[in-house]
Amino acid sequence: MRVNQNFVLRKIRDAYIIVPLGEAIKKANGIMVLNETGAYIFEVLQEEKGFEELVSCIMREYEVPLEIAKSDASDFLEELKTFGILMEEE
Amino acid sequence: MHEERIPLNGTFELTARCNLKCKMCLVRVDEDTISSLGLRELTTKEWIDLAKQARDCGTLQLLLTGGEPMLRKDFCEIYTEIYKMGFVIVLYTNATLVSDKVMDALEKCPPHQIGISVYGSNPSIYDKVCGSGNAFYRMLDGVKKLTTLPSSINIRTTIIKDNIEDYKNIYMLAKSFGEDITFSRSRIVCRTTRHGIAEVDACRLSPEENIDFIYGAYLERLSKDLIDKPIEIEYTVEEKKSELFGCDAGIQSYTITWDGKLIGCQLLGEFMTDPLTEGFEKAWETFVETVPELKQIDACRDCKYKLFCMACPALRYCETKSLFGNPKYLCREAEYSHKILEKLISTKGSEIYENV
Repeated sequence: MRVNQNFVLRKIRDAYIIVPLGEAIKKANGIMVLNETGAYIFEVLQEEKGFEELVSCIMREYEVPLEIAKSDASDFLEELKTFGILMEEE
Repeated sequence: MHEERIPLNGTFELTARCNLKCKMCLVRVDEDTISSLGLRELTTKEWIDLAKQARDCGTLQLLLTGGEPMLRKDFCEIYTEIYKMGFVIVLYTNATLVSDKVMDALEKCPPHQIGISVYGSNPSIYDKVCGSGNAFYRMLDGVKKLTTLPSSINIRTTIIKDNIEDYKNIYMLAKSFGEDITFSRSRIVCRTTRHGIAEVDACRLSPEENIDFIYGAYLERLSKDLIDKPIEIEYTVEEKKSELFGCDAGIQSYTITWDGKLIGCQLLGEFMTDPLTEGFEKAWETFVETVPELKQIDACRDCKYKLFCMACPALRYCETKSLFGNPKYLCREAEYSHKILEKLISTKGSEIYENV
């Protein structure tokens, strides 16, 4: 999986904001504000990654246990899917 | 002071020129006037560079407007490069120059919102308001194309003497363009700003006509409410922010004029910095130093109509070419608003009218 390249991450002062571009503007219907962890995941998923790989990255970056990293990642990925931000291989 | 300043909302006036000659245009300047003033519009590269700098300084929403931005031969290049930078893009246009090339660019890079100005429901009104009857058909064709984009569309109109009788038809026309399309109208037609050449006084409604037009329907409803059930009306005047102009201008928003100056808002023609020579960041930072402290105008301090007054520094500037001028048009609007509300309430025999 990876993020749809029609979404651009902007850092404005301390805020992380995803701006949809191209065809994505209709489905996203607005901007999305992320926290720092969300922005980190968004950056990691600029390249194709598997779920386990992503979880390992989160564990390393934030020094959190496996279960917390898994839970945080899956909640956030669900949200990304809702707005068409996440692209998964069929 | 001003620690929270951030240039979140930008406006780029890509050109002062327009293919139409609308009688009430705030900005339009023709090529001869631009030459005679010794001024010039920015180049392709200058707009793209400024956009990059604005993005790096925190601009999130960017309005691209004019004049008519599509009149620029390099519109597609400027537009596409700016779009890729990740702004929330709003594009204002009269929709009469939507060529295949423009549509190709907009299909690849659809704006988040398009504001389309529509000033009449037929060629005759377009001829009177915009100086071209044929522009009506070109606008229809342009709207047809633009509404195929995933962008949200807002039809914007401005009412003057020449199209007031056509207002309902304009509204119906706008609604016929699609279910999701929104419609808005200007609250006030003010005099031109900076070097604008339109003769606004000759075409705009009188202050009284404008208030009747803007609030007529609302007052009718209010009148019915007063018959059914007396309502309490509480008047409070909000304390305006003392910083700069009392609004977001210069605090969270700015305009880059067609000749490359950074100003507080599009209405203003004074207090500017020069992002072309200083760079955007410094121009934004030093902008506050150009604005004098705005004290209350003596003539307004004890005005009994101030509750109804919509004057702000920028409107004062447009109307009088001074931040401290007395904008008679707005004074008459306020006085008339007061009168009709007073009349409305007294004719209903209500005792609820207080404090004004």
